[in-house]
Amino acid sequence: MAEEKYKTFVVIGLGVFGSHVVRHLARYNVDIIGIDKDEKKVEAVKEFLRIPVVGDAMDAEQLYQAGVTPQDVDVAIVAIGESVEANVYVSLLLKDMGIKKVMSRALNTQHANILAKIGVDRVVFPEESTAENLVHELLSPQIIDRLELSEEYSIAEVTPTKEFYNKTIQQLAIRTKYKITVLGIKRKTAVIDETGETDTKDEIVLLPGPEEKILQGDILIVIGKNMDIEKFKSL
Amino acid sequence: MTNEEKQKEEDLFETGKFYLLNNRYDEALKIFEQLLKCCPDNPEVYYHIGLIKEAKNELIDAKNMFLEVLKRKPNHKLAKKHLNKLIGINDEGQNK
Repeated sequence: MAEEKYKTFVVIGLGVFGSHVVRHLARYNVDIIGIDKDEKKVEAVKEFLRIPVVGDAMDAEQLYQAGVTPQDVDVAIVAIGESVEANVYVSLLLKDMGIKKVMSRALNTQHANILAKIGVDRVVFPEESTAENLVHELLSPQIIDRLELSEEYSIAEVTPTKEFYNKTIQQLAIRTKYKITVLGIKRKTAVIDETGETDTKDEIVLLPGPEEKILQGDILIVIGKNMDIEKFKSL
Repeated sequence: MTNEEKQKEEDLFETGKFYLLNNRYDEALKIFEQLLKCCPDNPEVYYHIGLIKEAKNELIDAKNMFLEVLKRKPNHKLAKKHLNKLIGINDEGQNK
């Protein structure tokens, strides 16, 4: 279940959304490079940045000098909100440079579609996705979504380790061993649609019985104490 | 392409789809990867590999495959639908 963790981030555009992303990322033990043309914006979050850069991210040379290379940066977050053109240009530049994961803020529908076409890995609408959720998504990729029920308990979507594949819930003794309960299983199934094309449909097996098998690609919806869910995800 | 080669390609496609529809993803993937070697320009091969990767929850690979489909056939509706869903936008272009 353990995936490679992202450790180095570059946040480009340190306005309201970008600076929130920086502040949330800084709560975790990660390195952040922050870039903005506006010195005041860089200054405002400087204490959270390993490398603060006042500069133009549309200039590949400046990005390179700031340490933005595929070897040194795991995730680039393009939070530029003033100009669609600059946002798209920088996103494309980062993709061309070979940055592993590029997430870009979209300002409107057309902008989102352009970002999709140039191959960004995640389009973010700040009005709907908070900086906190975004950071959580980046730093806990195994936990796809989480609903906190209290300070102690959550419901979370977790990808199971491949050792679980083709075993039943009873065989895995999930409740006894890991102290969490599986409320449901999200599963994609290939189907032939009404036009004869192959497609997939999402299924949810609610309250799976002890004989239900966990299949490759399944996502488990579990309830439990936060610490037990964390333990389960790090298997 | 000879008739024999065309028939072989169709057979492989049907076999790959059969495995995919029966959730036998690894076997389906092997077939479609074989098809990729003989028809690297066929968008349907990339599309089906994208579906397999998506079903296996290998989402980055899935996304790249759907992008490959759209490079070859920009109006492939299903590839566009799956790509948009993976990167966080719905069919209308808004956030999921």
